[in-house]
Amino acid sequence: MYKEESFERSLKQKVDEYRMYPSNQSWSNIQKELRKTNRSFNYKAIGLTIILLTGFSIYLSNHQQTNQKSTVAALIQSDIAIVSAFEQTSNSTFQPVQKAEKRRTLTFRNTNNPESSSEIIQNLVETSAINTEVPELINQNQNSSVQTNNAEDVTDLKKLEMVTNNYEPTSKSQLPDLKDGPEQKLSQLTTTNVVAETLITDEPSSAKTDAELNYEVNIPVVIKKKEVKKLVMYITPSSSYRVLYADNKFTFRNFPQLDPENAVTHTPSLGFEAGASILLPITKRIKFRTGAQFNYTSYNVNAFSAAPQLTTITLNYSTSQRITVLGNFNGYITRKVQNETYQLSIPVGFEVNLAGNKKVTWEMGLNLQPTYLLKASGYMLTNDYKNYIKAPDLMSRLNLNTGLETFIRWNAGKFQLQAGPQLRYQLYSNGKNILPVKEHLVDYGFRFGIIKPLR
Amino acid sequence: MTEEAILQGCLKNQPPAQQELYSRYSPKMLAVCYRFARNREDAEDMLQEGFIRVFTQIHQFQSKGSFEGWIRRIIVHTCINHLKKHKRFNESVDITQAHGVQVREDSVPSIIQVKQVIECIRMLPIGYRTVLNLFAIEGYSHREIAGMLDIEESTSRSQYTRSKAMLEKILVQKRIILQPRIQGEWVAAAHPRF
Repeated sequence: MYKEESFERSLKQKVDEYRMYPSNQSWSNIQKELRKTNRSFNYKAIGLTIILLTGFSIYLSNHQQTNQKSTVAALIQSDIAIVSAFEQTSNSTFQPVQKAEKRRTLTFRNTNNPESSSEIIQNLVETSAINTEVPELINQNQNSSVQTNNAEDVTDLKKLEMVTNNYEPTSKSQLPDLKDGPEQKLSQLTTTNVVAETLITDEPSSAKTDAELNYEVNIPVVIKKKEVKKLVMYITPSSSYRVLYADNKFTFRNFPQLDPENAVTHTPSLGFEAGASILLPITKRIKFRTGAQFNYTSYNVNAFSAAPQLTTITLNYSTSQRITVLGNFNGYITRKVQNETYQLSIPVGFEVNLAGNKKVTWEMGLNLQPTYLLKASGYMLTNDYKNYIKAPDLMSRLNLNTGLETFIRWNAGKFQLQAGPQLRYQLYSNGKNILPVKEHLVDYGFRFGIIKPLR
Repeated sequence: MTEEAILQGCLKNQPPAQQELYSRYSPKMLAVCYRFARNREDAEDMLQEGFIRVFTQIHQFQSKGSFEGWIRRIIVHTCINHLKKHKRFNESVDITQAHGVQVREDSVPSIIQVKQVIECIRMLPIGYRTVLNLFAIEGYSHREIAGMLDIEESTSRSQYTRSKAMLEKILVQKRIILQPRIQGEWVAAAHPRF
């Protein structure tokens, strides 16, 4: 149609000689865009580090508190040993006269003076949230007896938790008999233990005589708070993606050197997870968890619109031919499609308390999630990597996911709240086993939850 | 740095290799973008978008053809997508301007300055300009162009014919060439009006 030296050819030669030099800003913008992905991963890493450091600091502070309490407990246990020594020298017998329902405090009365046995002096020590109390000596005949009677003492008493874990009388014979009044022995206590001194300050002079006749000892008994079942409701926005690899059972003659990860252009997209689960305490630190969960996952496939063509997928012992209009490497124009899945799963796993106190705890959870695939768009890469086919029928309906998470849980009135990162990975390939390219979904999420105790 | 070293460096996301590749090919590719774009700013946007795709899809290059050709195809596709995204094709095309102009299938005189020709191409309506760029300069077939622009193949052919005629008219108006009196020969004007 055209001469050899055609219009097009010479025009092309001419314009190809032309050069234009872009501004410096262009390269900066390209660099920024290229580093954006890496930066987002850096932010995730920083966020995770902060959470881990916070958890570690909580753990450390908790550890220090425990040490302090252990020291106090050791001191008080020595006092209890002294009190126990009374048993050997006293003719008195003790019997429990009251077990306060809420205060969890046993009161023992000296039965040498039966007249005073009808009256029980109220224990000034209020039950703390820790559910522990400290030993207390009460002179029944005197209001100003040997007892804690001011706020500071109460505070000190609260610090003395764990004291009587091992001190619970089992029979009368084990109860302390006092021959002499407690005053003498109490003075021994005060010289023995500075902490215990706060229990017996401002002792009135009249207490000496009265105490010889009759006194009561309130010995707290720690009743462990029963762990309760909890209902957890949660939602997890996530960044969904996938891991691709080629099954060695299949031959990729055309691309023997090509990893499917390098042959495609995929980008992560947003997904989410919502569910409810029951927490069942196993030990103080470990809880069993199970429930129901819905997941939506999605990632972008950057492909090309191409002319309809027949493609072949090699399955295990057969081939399947499909018509597709999606090219992987080339086509008329670029086209972005989303590989979506809708899943229902039953997570079964454990939560472990790593650190924390009554208000804030740091937990870690691990679970397995038998999963049923409700619906999927099902874009799959062909054997030669040249095309995508839409084949939801080749996707496996049943699968198994695993979840790993760490989070902070804190009290918020009647409820507890939790927040923390989680990783969800699909253990088996998205497609059926017969497919050559294996695809495992992965979700990087941040879970928010609300916890309600069940009675 | 050799082309192979640049390629290997880019495959490993090494910034020096990426910068070398950009320095080497960006002047030529910006000229490509400029022919499609409405102005220089748009051209730079296309260039940036195109090079980002080059760097992110570089693992798809299979060393079967020329590396520059592969980059150029990506840049051209990026330009087309950019025009589509910004609905540049919706701009009106005055087809009547092309009527009555005899189309010559001859060569462009070599003495015509490159920049003048490019500026004349850029004066064409966007639809004409795109088809002319794709067919005459980038070497795509009318079938491929039809697929890229979502138009009929016959439309691509007719648009090209008209764009050539209009370009000739513009070249004459701008006194880059003289109204040809001899069949098959264009004569450059002495004082082009640029």
